This record gives sequence, structure tokens and C-alpha cells, in this order.
Amino acid sequence: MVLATATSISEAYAPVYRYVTPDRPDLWRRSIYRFIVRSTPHAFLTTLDCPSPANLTPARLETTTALQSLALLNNDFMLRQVGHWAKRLEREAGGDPAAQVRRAYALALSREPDDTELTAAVTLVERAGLPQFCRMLFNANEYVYVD
Amino acid sequence: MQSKTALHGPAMFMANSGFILPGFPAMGAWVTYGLGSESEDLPAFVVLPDHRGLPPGGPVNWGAGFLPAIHQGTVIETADGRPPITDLFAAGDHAALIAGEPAGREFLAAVNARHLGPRGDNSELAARIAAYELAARLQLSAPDVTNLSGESDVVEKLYQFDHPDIGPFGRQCLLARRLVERGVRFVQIYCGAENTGAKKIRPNWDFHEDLVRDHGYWGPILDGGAAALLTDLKAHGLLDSTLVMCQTEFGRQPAAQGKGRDHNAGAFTVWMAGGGIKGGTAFGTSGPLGFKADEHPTSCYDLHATSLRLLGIDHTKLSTYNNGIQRRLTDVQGHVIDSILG
Repeated sequence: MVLATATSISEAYAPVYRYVTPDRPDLWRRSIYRFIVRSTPHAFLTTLDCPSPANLTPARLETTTALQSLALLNNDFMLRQVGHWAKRLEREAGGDPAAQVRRAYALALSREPDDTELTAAVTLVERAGLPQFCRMLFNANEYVYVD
Repeated sequence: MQSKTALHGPAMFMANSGFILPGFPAMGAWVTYGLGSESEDLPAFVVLPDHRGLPPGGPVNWGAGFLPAIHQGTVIETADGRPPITDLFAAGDHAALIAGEPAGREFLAAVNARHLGPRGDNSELAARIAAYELAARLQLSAPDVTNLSGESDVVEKLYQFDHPDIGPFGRQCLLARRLVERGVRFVQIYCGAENTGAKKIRPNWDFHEDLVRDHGYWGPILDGGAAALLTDLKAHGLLDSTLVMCQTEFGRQPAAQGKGRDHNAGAFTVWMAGGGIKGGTAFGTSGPLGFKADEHPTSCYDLHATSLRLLGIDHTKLSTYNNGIQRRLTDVQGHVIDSILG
């Protein structure tokens, strides 16, 4: 889900790596093997419990932290994807908030929203815009955890 | 003091975690693992890097290693104008999302609460909900702690805010006092950053070329900030309950390297203050040349064992089982230095 590319700027002692938020179709790929810069771990991945490559890690130590909440709510990669997703919903479901919400639930949660959820979601879309709703759905426990 | 290595990266790791290899928990991680924190709104282990950048080895120096990731140090940026914590707010192009956030949060809380209903025994889901609540508190507490405008003129003079070189380090030190005041368990300040290539005053204490130039620059900075911090902690009645350690990863040779000096893992000095340390005392000496530790050579294991003891922890008992070994900060070494305890 998360992709990183690094551009290297050589300095006398060690190259300095700066991460670029992948925001082009050719950068949207899943990784099986990934290039890792030991001296500059990717902050977003580290926050999400990506283990240090220095350790043998047969099973990732999973934690729950407030920094993860902040990352999923505010990280540049997440919010650019929120923008893309909102546009996709508009393309596929048109301008009606209820249709957009139903399409979002189908894509993200593989189900229909019930009446209470639909009302709450549509209210949010009307008050705060479709991207805000998309952003919050990405942060929902139901989205993040496989039951 | 002595170190096992005269290379910056491994020596930094050793000073921080007791091992020259990366991947081991930093002292701050161990301490918060053992003691938790007194603040509910701020991270337990905070790192305040130099505004010039991160130290050699970067975040590995405050990593949690094989301890739960919540014990990793949280970097708080002290430079004026920089957001204190990464991703604290939707920034840049996404700032428009901030306006509707309260409504969004309400929706998220409701959705998560509904989801939790039939799964009430799942502590991970509940923990995640709590994490969002803490994140919201961090959005208030982090800017609050880094907002130094409320401090008095006396304090600003003490930390020499106006001095172009000492001021930034003074800010880091003042921020450390404010964090400690608010119950943060472990704060680490870095004076200097990783080397860069340009020929100028070193951005750190690695004085290979010109000792007089670079030490002349950095000496007043460390001295100014550290003295201010100790004075300030004492004035706030915090010095007795706060252990202050000033250390480095290795020393310099007594012989010249041009106008500078090369690395020396054989002899260097650390100091400690507050928190139960007996003031005005020294432990150990180097030989007459200052080349090698002579009487009572010590290492980070002894420093860590002594510090943990002052925090009320037996360094041999604070351990965790990982990949077949019962691991601890002091590995299989370390002696408490009784003669410097108050």
C-alpha cells in the first residue's frame, strides 16, 4: 500500500537521502523487496511498525500509538490518496452524496452502509466535503483491521 | 570512560543502547518500558535534535529495537517555525482539510464505536480508539509545550535566546525543562548533527581540522545551555528528581592532527548532575597523556547501570526475552558506581 522512492544527493561523508511521496501511476506499486536506507528509515513506515532491517524479525511487533493515528490522518501520502479517491468516487458515483457514500463503503469495506451509517456519512459529506469523509473512512478500524 | 569503537555510528549506538550494532533499544526505550510516564498528553520518551540535523545513525539512536514500538523516542523539532511533531496537522496542500476535521472526527469516533460494539473484548480496537484520542491531545499539548512565548524575560536571558549560536541550543534545553515539568519521563537533547562535506566550522564536536576554531565555537554553546538547564531545573525544584547526563560517544587524541585531533575511544569524560548524584566528585582518571583511561576505567555499561539505579531500577532485572536471549540495556556487563551516589 505504501511506496517510497529515494533520490540521493551525494555529500562528502555519506549520501543524503530524501524521500519523495509517490504520486505518479508508475510509482503506485506494491513491494515485495524494497530498497532500505539504514541511516534514514522511512518515517511513515517506521511509525507503522516497519521493523529495523538490523534485526531478525520473524513476526512484526505490532503496536498501537498516537503517532500512527497522526500519520494516517495527516501524512502527505495518505492525503494525496484521499484526494484521488474522492475524485474516483465522483467519477463512478456521480455528484449525489448518498451514491458516493455507498460506492465508498463498497470499495473500502466491501459492504453496504446501513441507514444510520448512510445518514451520518451523507451529513459529513454535505457539511465538510467528500475528501473529509474519505479521509475518515481510511482511518476507521474496520478499514485498517481484517476482522 | 572508554568505548569499544572509535567510529561515530557504532559509538553512538553504544552510548545510546549499549551495543555497537543497530537494532537494540535505546536507554530511553528501556526506561519508559520499565517506568512508564507521568504525562498522559505527551510522549514518554522525547528526542530534541539539533536544528542542523540528526546525529550519526539517526533514529536508530532512539529506537525501541525489539521492545514495543511505543517506546521509541518521539522527535520534537525545536527550531522556530517548524511543526513540533511530524504529521501533527494536515499540512501544505492539504490544509483545507483542517476546517472540517472536528466533524470528521465525530464521524470517525461514531463509526469506530459502532464497530467495537459486538467486538467489545478486542483490546486492540479499543486501544486504537484511545490512540486517536491521544493524538487529538497531542495536537494541543505539543504546540503548547513548544510555544516558548510565555516564558519570562529572565528565562530568555538565562538560556541566551538572543545569541545567534547559543540561542538554538538554549531553546532545546528550555524545551527539555518544560517537557520534564509536564511529566515526560526521558528527554534526550543533541548538541550537534551528522557531518556534512563543506569546509567550515564543524556542525558537531568532531574537531579533526581545527580544535581552537571549533571548540571555541561549540564550548560556549554547550556550556551556556547546560548551565542554564541546571540552574532552571534547580529554580523549579526539579533538579533532585531529574537525573541530568552529559555524554559523548568517544574522546579525542592527545596528539595533534593538523590543528585538530583525531578520535580516541580510550579516554573521555561524561558528567552527571541532579537526581541523586553526589555533586562535586570525580571518578576515574586517565594516564598523564590523556590517551587512555588509567584508574577505574568505565564504559557505557557502568553509566547505564548507575543511572538505572538512580531511577530505582536494578539493571540486571530490567530485561526482555528476544530471539533466545534475555536481553537488557547493560548486556552482560555494568557495575553501579556507588561512590558517586549521594
